[in-house]
Amino acid sequence: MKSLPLRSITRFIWSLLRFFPYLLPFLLVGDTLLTVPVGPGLPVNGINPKMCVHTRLTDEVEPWKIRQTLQLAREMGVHQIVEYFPWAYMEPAPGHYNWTHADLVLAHARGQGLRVIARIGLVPAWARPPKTLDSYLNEEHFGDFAAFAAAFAARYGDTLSALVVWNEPNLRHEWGGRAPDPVAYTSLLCQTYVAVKTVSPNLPVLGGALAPTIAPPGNPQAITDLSYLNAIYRAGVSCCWDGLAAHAYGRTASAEKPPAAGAVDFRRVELLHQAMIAHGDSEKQIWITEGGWNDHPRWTQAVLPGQRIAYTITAYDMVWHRWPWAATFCPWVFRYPRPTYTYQDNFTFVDVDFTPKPIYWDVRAYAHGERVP
Amino acid sequence: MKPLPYRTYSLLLAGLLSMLALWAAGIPRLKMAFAPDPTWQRVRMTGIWRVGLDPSFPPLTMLDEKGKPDGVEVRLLRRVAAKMRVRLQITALSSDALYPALWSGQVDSIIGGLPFDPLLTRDVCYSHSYLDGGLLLLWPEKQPQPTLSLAGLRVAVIWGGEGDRYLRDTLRRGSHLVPKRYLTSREALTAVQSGQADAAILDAITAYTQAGKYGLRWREPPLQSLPYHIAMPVGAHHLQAAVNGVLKQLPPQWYLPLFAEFGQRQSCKGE
Repeated sequence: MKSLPLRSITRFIWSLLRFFPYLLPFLLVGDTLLTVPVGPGLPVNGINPKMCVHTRLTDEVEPWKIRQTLQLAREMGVHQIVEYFPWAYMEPAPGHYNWTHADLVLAHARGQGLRVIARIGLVPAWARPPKTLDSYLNEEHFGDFAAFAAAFAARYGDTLSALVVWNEPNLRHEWGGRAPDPVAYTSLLCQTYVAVKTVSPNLPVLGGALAPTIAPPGNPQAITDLSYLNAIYRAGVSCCWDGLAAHAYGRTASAEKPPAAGAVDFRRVELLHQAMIAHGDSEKQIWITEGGWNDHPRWTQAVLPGQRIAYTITAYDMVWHRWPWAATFCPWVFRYPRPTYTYQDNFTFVDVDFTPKPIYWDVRAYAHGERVP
Repeated sequence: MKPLPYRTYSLLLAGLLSMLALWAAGIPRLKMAFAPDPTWQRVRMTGIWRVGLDPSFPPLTMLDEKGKPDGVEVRLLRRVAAKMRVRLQITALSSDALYPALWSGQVDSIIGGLPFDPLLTRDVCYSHSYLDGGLLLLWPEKQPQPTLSLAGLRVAVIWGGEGDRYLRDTLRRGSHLVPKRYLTSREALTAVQSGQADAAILDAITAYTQAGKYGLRWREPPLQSLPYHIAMPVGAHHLQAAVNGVLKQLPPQWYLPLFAEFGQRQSCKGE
């Protein structure tokens, strides 16, 4: 009967170890091999300078996916993007910053020749009481947020086209699960504005990112965008911002449908513009940092896919040619890092696997001055 | 040192592998069978099965004239609840709130055209599929089934929809077909009925609801599959087994009469 000699085992292990020197270089530079070259700043060829799109790179880990997303956005013809930079991710402990992901996203955006509107928010656990929502921020921590915004602006101010302070503060769940408070928000915005301007005087600071709502007065869930805007003006917002960020969702209405105070549609932002004029703030622009249409086949708040394409192109064109007071239109959302398996997937232009949807090709054709079918 | 004989090695290895196989195959199942299922315990104790859904996705989930939940999936839930001998309690939620409601224990299950999401399986378990909402190929009843390569066919789709996407992918792969894009499903179906197109590609729900009225038939399985499931908390294995038991007993294409009924209602409203 044969036996397994110990010497053979030792020899086998030794022969494996002989390959180690060949593996060593790969082990040492493995991390470098995973990085993706940023490349030179590429030109954007879209004809409409106000074309923009909201990307969703927050939870996108792999560099090549970040670059691929931004490359497809550039090729679609947008000149800038809106991207979310969560405070909680970047300042995990007071005064300790982690800029790794933001560096990556902004480097690739520069490489693709895209300007970036940065939206900041999401409160770290250390800046709020336990068991509160991550949108909960007390007045005592407004200074911490302002300091973070200033650190962010100091690092990236030259490469950003604007900074959006908070998101949809007129909604309860975006204001820490408390009743929306326009006076407190104005205080937060003013503190942030002063801090950012100290380090980056040319970076536009935007307030709001107001959600379009028609909630009745006294509704605990929301204050209408129009009422909220009037309230922050009364609280003195004029001196604390360079423009208003607003969301413009069309829901089931066409892009052309005239606005009305009691309806949510794309042109509702015209009412916000009128309110700004009424408050003597006509010089400042509205930046539409979210919006657009959804084409889920069964959702009652969706439109047909062809309508979505037509409305989106009309909206881009309207903002460019007819709305000098609007700085940009950035529909939600270019691509998700992973499928949501809900109607949210029907807001995207490109699938998770980077397959462009028909809307991508038609918007791209429009942006390059070609005939849209 | 005297080396061990090969047979001893083999026996040891075989024993070890057998133990591993037993552990992998049997023990977890046994453990699961005896493990408590708090969701099922609660359902049995109260006699109420709480299901969350968003009633804004007709004809799957919607509100009837009296404002009560109805639709194909609601009818399915009623059938499942009756077989499980529990009372169905529907909680209307927004789509974005469905999974959070499940995780927080607000509801026992959720439904609403939910495909299997592999990234949620740490927190969620899914029932067997009760319906496939994927893409179907439709053609006139009196015509033979068109070739699946779609070569040489004039194919009607909804402009910008999933069918359009399928066609564009097929074209990129080099197929010689003629895409015919229409704004609505009605226009696409009429085109096939009137001979302006040879076939249509539409999602299954639209096909089940409308195709009959245009004298069209379809081929199953779908060109592109999208199975829907009922989702439950991850530890709810008894509830999952009970739901699956009922789903298994459903007759094939149980949904067709319901889609026909809700399709008729929608066309009566001019939708």
